[in-house]
Amino acid sequence: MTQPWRWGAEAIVRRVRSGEVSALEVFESCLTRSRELEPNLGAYLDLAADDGRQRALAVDRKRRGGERLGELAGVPVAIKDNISVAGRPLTCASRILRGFVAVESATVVERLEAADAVIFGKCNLDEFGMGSSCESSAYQRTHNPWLHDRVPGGSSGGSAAAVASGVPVALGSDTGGSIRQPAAFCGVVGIKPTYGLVSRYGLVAFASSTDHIGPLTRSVRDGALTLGAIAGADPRDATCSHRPVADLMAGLEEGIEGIRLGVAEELEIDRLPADVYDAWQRSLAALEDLGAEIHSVSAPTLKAATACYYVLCCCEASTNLARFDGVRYGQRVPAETVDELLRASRSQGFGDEVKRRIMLGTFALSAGHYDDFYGRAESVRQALRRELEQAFERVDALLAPTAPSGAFGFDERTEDPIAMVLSDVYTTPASLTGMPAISVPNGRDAQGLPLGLQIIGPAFEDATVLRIGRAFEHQSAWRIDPLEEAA
Amino acid sequence: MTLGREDVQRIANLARLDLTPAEAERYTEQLNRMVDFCDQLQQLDVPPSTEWREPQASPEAEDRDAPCLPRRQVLHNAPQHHAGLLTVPAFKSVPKSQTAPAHPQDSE
Repeated sequence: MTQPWRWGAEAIVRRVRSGEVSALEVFESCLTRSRELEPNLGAYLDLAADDGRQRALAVDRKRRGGERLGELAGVPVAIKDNISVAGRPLTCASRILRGFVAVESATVVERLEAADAVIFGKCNLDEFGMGSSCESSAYQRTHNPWLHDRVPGGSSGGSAAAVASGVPVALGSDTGGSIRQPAAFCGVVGIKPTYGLVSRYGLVAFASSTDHIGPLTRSVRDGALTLGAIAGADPRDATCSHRPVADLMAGLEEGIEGIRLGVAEELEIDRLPADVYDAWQRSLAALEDLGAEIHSVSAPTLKAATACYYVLCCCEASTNLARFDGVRYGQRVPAETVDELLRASRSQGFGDEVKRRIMLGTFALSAGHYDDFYGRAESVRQALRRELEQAFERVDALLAPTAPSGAFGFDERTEDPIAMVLSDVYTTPASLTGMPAISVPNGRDAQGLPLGLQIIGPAFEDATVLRIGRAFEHQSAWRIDPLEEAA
Repeated sequence: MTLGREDVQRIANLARLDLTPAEAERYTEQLNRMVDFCDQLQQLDVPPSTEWREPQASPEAEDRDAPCLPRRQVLHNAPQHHAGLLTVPAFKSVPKSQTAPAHPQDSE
């Protein structure tokens, strides 16, 4: 028998349900593996060893008692540390939340537990989700399991590194590409569902109009399984849709014969570096071999998507992060007056990237600039949505690279906020429009590091996006095994 | 448009952030590059925003009484509290004769 840490979620569920292996054995195997690698990876801010064991034992007791086990029975799931798990630290990788302990669990965590998953630990991230490399974490660097002097991507870099090394599933959050880009950099699958499919209750808000929660896994099937478990209406999140959730596993193996896939001219794919371009071309050929038709489409506003995203996310961050004031929770710097307390707590509690974004947002929302920046960006977002909706009248899904490069080195982009945000150039359109998107490994760059192909669908066509991802992944030549080659 | 040091100080003040001289210098340079980058939005020919349209409409929730978190649990993460309330420094000075006697810090 192979070691349980190598198994995907589906295999774990099957074996735990049948009694071939206990949930505790699976948990201990993943814990031992993750602890071995942690000194070199730095994926976790908190490992929930005792809570996890208790939870795994409860799943095993349930099985012995003859109760039916949930759809994620015994599956260890790592959680990005901006999602609340009751009784565990919740830091958002920020100094300002050092010592904060969550008093209740996010809806997604409650749903994972209701499906008999086992919460494994809290993963590192860019501070409050702001960044594309995990380097803005106030606590530690996370290293790419494939090559330790490269970043894992971000902001869900800890979640991606965890899945590429020791646990089958992690949850991340994606505001401008924060699930998809690290998934691509670490050779795993990352899903940003349709806005409103998954409740954000218990996710610390960064930019509420583009914050999403979604899974990172080693296969599309495991991603669909996890997404199915966490999706659906939530009375605690007014932005969560009340539509019934389709069975995301049902049509996964139906193939993509005759499906129409679009590539937007404005992406200027031919300007990609040669290695990324080669992987892209091979991916299109593989999809055609599977029976897909590739069409060219146009969406002129795509070129401005990243600037539009940057303005909107900074504006929303500046208001969302106003709640961190050293008064009700988090770190407080003692001072003589309330104003001094507030300023000192914020100034010492927030890191560089967070301060930069709060200031850009404050500027863009200030009198005299609101119309030119925030108002303008909102108009651009609406135009982009209209253009993509028109494109979806001609095609079933759109394709794009996930990122314009493979994983880059530490410190290469930290002093240049524009270079950093340009890693998200292909992911921001789906963020702004709330459309579902998946990143699936599609080859390697010149250094042998993984690259990702992104598939974007119309709102609430998550099942279509997953089916295309699954068909693509099923081409064995495109599979890469992070467990064999990374860490 | 170009932001000067005093513009950046004004923005930091609005955001309740104190900047060191080194930060003020660095952020002035970086914010100018960010504003330049975002300026490309002005070049686009798009109709003005009308209203924010959610990708889906959700029904409004019914107003209902429900239990909230116990006060003790909420205060667990408070940096300083006393007698079940959050404490902060005085907002304005009060003549000594009117001040309440000092209480020991609530250690809950």
